[in-house]
Amino acid sequence: MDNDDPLDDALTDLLGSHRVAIADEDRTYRRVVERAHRRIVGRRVARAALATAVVATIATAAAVTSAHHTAEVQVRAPLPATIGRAKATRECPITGVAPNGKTYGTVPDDPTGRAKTPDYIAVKPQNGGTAGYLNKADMLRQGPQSLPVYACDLTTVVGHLVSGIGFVPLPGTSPPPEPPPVTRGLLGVQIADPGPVVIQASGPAARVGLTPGDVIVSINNTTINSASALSAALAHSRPGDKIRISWNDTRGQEHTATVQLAAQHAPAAVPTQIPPGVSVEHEATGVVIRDQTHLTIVAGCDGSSVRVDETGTEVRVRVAYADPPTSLCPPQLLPATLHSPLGARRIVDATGVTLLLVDQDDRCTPIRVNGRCDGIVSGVVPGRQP
Amino acid sequence: MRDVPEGFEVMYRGEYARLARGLASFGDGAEEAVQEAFVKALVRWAHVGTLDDPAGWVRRVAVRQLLNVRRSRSSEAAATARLGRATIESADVRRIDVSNAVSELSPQQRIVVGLRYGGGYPIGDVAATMGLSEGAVKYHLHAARERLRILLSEDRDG
Repeated sequence: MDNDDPLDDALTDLLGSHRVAIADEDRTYRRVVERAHRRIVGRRVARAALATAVVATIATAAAVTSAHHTAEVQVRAPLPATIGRAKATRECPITGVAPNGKTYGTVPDDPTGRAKTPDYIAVKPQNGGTAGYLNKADMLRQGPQSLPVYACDLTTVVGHLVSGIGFVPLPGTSPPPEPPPVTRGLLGVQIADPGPVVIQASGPAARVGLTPGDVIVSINNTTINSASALSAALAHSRPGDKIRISWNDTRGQEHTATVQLAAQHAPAAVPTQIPPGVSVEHEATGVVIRDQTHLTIVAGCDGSSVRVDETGTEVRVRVAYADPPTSLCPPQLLPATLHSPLGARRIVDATGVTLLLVDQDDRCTPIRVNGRCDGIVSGVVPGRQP
Repeated sequence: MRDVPEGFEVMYRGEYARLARGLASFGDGAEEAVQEAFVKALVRWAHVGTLDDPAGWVRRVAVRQLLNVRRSRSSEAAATARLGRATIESADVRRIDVSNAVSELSPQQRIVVGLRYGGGYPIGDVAATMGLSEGAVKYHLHAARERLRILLSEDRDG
């Protein structure tokens, strides 16, 4: 460089000889500009999509809230953050629930005593860690560019939701990362006592030939004589486990097959909320709560999913039941139909469970029920008198 | 051509080839890293354009990008082989020796040597790009040169 060292000359000669032709430089320049432009446009689209999603979410939440005093919001934003859902009911304070169903905090009761509205939406970063709440008013006022994210007390800012970046927690506000979700093996049957008789088969169970009306006899050579026995037999199973299952079909013919269990999220606390005699099986498509009376809850209100929060106090389900009820849960249940939820007088449920009842017009009605598993239910359907 | 903020093209014209030369010893990945740095600069030009030294920002991003890229040994070896073949075609044996010796340096030494000798950047700019003090850059340069002398000596003796 600035001395006569031959090594310097050699290095300058070698490393400086990487000539970039002007033509190449122009071509590269155009390529750089194009790439930058595409990236800028992509960000604008993502920002607009987020704004639309958030506004739509708020609108949906408000509409549902006014109708049912219940709102549920779930939006996957085009950001490395997930907007969860916030719920409010007449009976319950607002509760923020992250998309994985974990409850992060409770909003204090409304001092005005008015019906709660979902003023907050839960958010959490997709890589785990801090969860917080977005204020609906902030969204409407500021747009989604940079929104404060509040802690459970709704006064402490724990981060910001920044468009194009996602939920950015403030330093020192991250709680310990959540453990990975626990899963257990899914057989894919909805069953009822006595028997247990198969009400509905899906997934692995359906693949090996189980059909409604079949009676499960054994799992891995362990005799199964009740719904709870089946649940116990599968309690410690894992996705991918292979089990040997035997059953009798409706003609009394015995079958045996090996089933590889599918994956499902293990219900964290719901089983403890369900009275004895009621079996619960969570599937990707629904929840079944059943006992020797006549109610089967078979699917989510949206027909595709059911979410149960970890406190197990609320279950959002579509209800099907036998009409008229019989002593044995029949396979010819009328799915997604409930003519008169209170008039049926046969609803069996866990105390404090909220049901979303589906009428013949496929309209969902939330009902807060308090009852026992013997089929006696009291509840209030908004706009009706029990 | 799309609208490009004022100042970006000037910076690009003055910096691209120089920076690409400075990092050329890393093979194909270097040019990609440099281009990516310019793309990021243009995307964030509202901020980058207000900096005292936008070109320095680009250099830092390019070097960081280059060091972050985990290139497989095979691809790096292939790049080195391509460089070797190109050099052989020029029939300049001395260049082959130096090129091979440079490829034996640590990544940090290669960047320091490349920016200094290939890009002709002042020590202060190299230091700012690397996030090092000028003294540290001089140390790396000294160590790299000593290492190169040994490697070249071994080549000649071997």
